[in-house]
Amino acid sequence: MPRTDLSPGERLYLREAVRGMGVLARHFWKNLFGFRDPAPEVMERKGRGVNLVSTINYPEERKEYPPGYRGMHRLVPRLDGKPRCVACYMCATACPAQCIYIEAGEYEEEAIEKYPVRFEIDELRCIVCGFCVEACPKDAIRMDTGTHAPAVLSRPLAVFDKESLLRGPAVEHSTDVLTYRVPLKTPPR
Amino acid sequence: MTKVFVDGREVEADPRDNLIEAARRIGVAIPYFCYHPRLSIAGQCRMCLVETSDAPGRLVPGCQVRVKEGMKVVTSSPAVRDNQRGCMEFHLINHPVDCAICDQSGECKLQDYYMEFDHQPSRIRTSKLNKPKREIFGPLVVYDAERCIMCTRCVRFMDEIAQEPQLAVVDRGSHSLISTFPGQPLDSKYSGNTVDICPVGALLNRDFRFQSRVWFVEKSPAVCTGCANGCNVYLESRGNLIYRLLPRRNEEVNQVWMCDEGRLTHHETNEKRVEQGDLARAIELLRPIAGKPGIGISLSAQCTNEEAAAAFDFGARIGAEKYFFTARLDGDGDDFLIRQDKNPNRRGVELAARAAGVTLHDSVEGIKALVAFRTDGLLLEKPLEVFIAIAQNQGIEGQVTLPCQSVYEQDGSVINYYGRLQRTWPGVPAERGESAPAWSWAERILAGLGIAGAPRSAAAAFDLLGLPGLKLEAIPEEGVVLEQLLPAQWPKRAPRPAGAAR
Repeated sequence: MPRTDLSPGERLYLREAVRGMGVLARHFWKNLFGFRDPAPEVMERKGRGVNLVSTINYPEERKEYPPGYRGMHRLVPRLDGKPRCVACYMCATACPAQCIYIEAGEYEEEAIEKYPVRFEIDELRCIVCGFCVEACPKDAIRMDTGTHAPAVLSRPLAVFDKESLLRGPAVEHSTDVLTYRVPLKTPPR
Repeated sequence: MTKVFVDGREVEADPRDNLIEAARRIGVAIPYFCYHPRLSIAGQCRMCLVETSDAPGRLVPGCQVRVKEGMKVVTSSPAVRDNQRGCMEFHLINHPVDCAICDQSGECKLQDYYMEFDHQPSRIRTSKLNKPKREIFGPLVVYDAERCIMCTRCVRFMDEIAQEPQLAVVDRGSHSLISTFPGQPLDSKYSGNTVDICPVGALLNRDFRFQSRVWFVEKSPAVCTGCANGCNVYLESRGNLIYRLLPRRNEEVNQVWMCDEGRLTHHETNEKRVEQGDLARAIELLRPIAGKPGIGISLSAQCTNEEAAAAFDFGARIGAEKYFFTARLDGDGDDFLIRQDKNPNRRGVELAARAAGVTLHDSVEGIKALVAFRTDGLLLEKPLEVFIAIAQNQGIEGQVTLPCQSVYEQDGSVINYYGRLQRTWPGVPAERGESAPAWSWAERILAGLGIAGAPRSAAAAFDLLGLPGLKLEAIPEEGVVLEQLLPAQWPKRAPRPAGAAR
């Protein structure tokens, strides 16, 4: 079948080869003299030619992740330091990688009866989709730590338990007041 | 039959049907909270209001109005829809919406109907009413008054079905709540059913509380092993654990109820199990004595029919001298669903013994070696030379203990007190250790001894029972009545097949 997508000029190839060299040369000169946008991470290293293609000297210099970056999970604490989580298993249900393991327990005194006795995330299994954060009805799990899951030397070390996940600033919503109230007991009859 | 028209479609309804049941016959679902087919009509929830040709321009409760020849029923007119939306809004005024911590979520009618009929944000700007939460009603039931919608199903159940009025509505208006009587907990033997019929998360099962979310567990049909009544149940399991048992409808055995004791029988399957067994050692121990006198076989009334038939087959092939019958001790019984015999298959084992033509002895004596098919109620006066136990739970252990699957885990059949042959299915997805049905261990021991021909499947073992015209695979879900085993006397309130003796 005859090829119809190439014009006669393109079929000569010579003209196209010269055009390609032109594109290459444009990028070469732009990069060499730093015409591209500067990278804020390396602007501290003053001097000419600091731009987006400059090498970042990791780990001394680190790029900041963008605001929506899904980093490592954290369990959000309440003001009293306990997890906001009520072990409703919504995150575990939504998780496509099934990396969240929860065991529920019961507070004796509080109006919020349920809490996670165990809350474990296998960061090796996690595919960082953020569905757990979306699913959480209590704003109890977030991926706003700005870090990624650290490298580990053995697989069990990638399973993070409740104590290590429970970190970061506490969060309080205006509606939380309702759940903190002391439940009524039936008066003795 | 009475002819009515539901949303313009003709329905042949029973004259005793109410509008909900008549609509159900053609698959039209009229929503309701308080109506229950087996309880009296309360008309509490007002969710089932529909329009009829008998009362044009007004809404009538579908649960309370019976069908009438030629009646026209409209279940989805604007007025009906408006009422349903209004009802939902009223039901949710003081509802805490704590679905995240509520065990009912996933099977909650408030959730279902909100999505179907309401679907609007709350308009309430005042704070919700505070009511008692997690009040312990009894050994199996915990109550949350804030979630309660006052359908009074539980109160009516205790009055009418359990016939032990232990619950009542106290206080008035939006402050009303369900309560037990002073000093009298909800300790009826049927209290667990109040949890099942509660349409919301107000009454919850303390045994199942916070163990799992309902959408994680898989439902499979089974027969309760708690007593000889053989109530039909659903197992809800995940992995190798059973999380709870729920009654399965069978009008001739348990209607839609089950007892509290039966609800807890899954703990035996979950806990203290024998998990590993040394088959080679068992064969080694039996090899020198096989075919010689002095071998006894004991089997318990917890065995399925297949295990019992295989036990007699095993005994015949290995040359057993005596057969012993063990069973759990009798417990409490009543005239409804609880039998004194706490074994699921006493009649099946007796039937298998008759089919095999052997006599069963009660106390284990006069033998040197014993192979026990399930060890429930087994008492050994003095140590035996060889004792091989095929056991489900730890406790009685032989020189070799082979792990036996529970009835909930294996394919088989049992015969209840009333001579009803009922099928059980494997209801637990994951295997527990090396556990296998007892008939499988019998076959493997015999194979190790070089004896072929033992049944290699539950269906093959079932055929040894000598029930002509019956195959294991062909037993229907609701069971088969074995005419020759029908009792002459029935307890007063026991559900029974049509035509059975009063």
